[in-house]
Amino acid sequence: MLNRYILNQFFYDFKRALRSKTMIIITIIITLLGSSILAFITSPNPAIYSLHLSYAIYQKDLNYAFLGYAFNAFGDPLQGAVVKIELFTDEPSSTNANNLFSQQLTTNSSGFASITIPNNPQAKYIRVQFNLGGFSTSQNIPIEVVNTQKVLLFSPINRILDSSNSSRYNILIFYVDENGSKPSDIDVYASSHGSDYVKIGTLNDYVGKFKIGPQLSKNSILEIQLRKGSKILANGAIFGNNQNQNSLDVIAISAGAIAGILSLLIPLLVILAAYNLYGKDKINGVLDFILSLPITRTMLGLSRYISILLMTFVAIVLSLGFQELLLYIRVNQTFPLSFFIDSVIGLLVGAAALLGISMTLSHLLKSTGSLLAISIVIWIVFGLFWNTIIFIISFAFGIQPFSKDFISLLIQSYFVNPISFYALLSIYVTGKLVTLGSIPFNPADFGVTLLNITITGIAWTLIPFLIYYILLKKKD
Amino acid sequence: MLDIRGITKIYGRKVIAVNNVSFQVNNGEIVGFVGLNGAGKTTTIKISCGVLTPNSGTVYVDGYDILREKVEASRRVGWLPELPIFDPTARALNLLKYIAGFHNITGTAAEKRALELLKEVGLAGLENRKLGTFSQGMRKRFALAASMIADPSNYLFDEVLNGLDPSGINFFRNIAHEFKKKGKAILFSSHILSEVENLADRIVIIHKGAIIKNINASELANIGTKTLKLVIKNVDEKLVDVLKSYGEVRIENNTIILSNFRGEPAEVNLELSKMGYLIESFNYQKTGLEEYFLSLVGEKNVK
Repeated sequence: MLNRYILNQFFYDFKRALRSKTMIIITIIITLLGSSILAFITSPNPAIYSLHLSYAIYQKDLNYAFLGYAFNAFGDPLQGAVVKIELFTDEPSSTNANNLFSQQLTTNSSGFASITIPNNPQAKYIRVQFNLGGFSTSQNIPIEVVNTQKVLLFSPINRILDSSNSSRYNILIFYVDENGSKPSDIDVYASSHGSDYVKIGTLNDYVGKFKIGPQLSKNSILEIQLRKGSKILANGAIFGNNQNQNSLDVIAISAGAIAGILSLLIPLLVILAAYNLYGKDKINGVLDFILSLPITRTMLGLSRYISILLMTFVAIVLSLGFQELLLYIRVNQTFPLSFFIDSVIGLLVGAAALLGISMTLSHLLKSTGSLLAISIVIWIVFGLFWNTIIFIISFAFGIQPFSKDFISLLIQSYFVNPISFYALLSIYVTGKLVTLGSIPFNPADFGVTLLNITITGIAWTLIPFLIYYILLKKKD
Repeated sequence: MLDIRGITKIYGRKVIAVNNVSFQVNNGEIVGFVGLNGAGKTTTIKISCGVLTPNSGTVYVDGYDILREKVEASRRVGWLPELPIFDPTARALNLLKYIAGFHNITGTAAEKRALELLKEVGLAGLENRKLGTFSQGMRKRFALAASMIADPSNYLFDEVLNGLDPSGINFFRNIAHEFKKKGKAILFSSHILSEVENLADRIVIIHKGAIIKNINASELANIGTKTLKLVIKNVDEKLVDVLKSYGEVRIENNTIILSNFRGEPAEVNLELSKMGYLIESFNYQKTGLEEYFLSLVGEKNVK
């Protein structure tokens, strides 16, 4: 019998919370900010995102021909990359160079672009320029080099990332046979550290992706050979350096940015929701009318508390989910599951604490204006300027910025700030202090242990709630 | 039936809002609840519907303890506050359906009941209006509809007549009579003492948090004093003797003052005319509940 009353109240409160302007506006702001940051981070940029062009210039009849393949870090074709082919009488950067031919191409949906370059006896250089989204590269090829071979290949062997696991490498082979024909039955061999070559696949098209088996350790080399029967067509090597860190950086930078936005705006959402959906109703008397209905004040108070917390959970999941989707669309990657879990738990604990504090204040203050003002001040102090406040305090006590003492003070301060619980959890999970440029350290050295984190989380969740609950029961 | 038993409410540590207040409101009875501002009327009513918790004492609604059996007790009492405050963004029909849910009325039954009630209280056509756009009178009518959802057997009207136009006052007066006819118990607090006097079967007067008078139906009829003032030229002993049978006679110049007047003014007028007295001026005054109430609250221990 009682459960029905609770559910009636809960569904009403939850629906009201989900439809509240605060929830809608802040979730949209989080999504838009996150999206714009992700769009900025993942836009083509040599520092963080790999763009490649493999191409061949070959002799065709009495002319030359160009065939290029543009691809991303995963070897997937890039459409819309602009390739400019030019002929010059001299080295293109010299003042004497005259342009004899210029043609601009765009790669198609398969990543290919091709053109016939007319033979000109005056031509000394071919310039190939490649441009996509502001990132461009160019190469000047002397004609005499082109004339020495029937097919001149540029970047035929490339290291790419495994699209299902970016920590693994694959290789991409681009090959063009004589007269621009498709290759057939070209065997791809790999040798690690001077061991015997092992066949890893056969190429029957211009482009092929091959798995390399055991992964390369840092600075190790994998040599690649392309063979047709016993004839070696091409040699190359890929290196086990940290090139794929670029891709991982996208995730780390994105996660840091999203975490920053969430840790700032989710507490604001909670504070405003607590004000709009509880505090204002409590002070204005809306709750009085509901209390005259067949419901106890405990049921009503719990219903509002849980509704707002659940609404916050929905906002967090929606915001994170949208960013995940965007990240996946842009770089075919997702945030690590640990980031998702860390974010949801960290933000929810902070939200529970702030909610308890805000609802407690609703029982202690007599005007909506003072409630809103104090709530905003709490957000500004604990959410917006906490690090600045700690910085000023450390400065006042003569503690050097970024020293061990400073980091210790900063981390200890996170234990007494509910909004910083998310940062505390991130420190424990990642071993890095993201707010100070991802400084790596051992969290346990600063008291960030699983036990301390758990106790802090439970305390922040329970203590404000219990105070609110006591006031709810006892104070009219 | 509402049975208020020894409730005391203290705000903070010092402010005693109500102190050991006890009285009953029986089924089919309208009890007027009067007192000055801050006397404790609203606090008593809020405790009676479970909005406030008393420091001691309790209220039984049809036998259910409002503290220990809040849900069952609240199902049996409807509250009309002086200034009903609702979620301003809620729409009238939706909020009524939500309130119906507390009484196990859901789905189409809830919608049907809500539409019926909105029509009954004169809010038909405003089903989808947001409550924030309602006037005070409309909000009171909506609060009435909300309190009537489950057709409770007890009603608490807290200063509902305040701020209403004459048609609004008439509407709530009629509703109270209707509820009474249906055998419901109604506690009706108001500052408009003439209304309370006309409406109530019984009046409970609260002052500084304590009940100072509980006036029953027979006492109510005799409350106050009546005075008849007559200006007659040919005053004689015979006239004075006749008038003495109607009250205490005092003569000032040509004016005869009949204090503690008993009887009907028209009767006196007719009798004196028949006796041949020429009445130049005839003035009848009645002091009612208001003066009685003021005299009570001005004198703390009047019983």
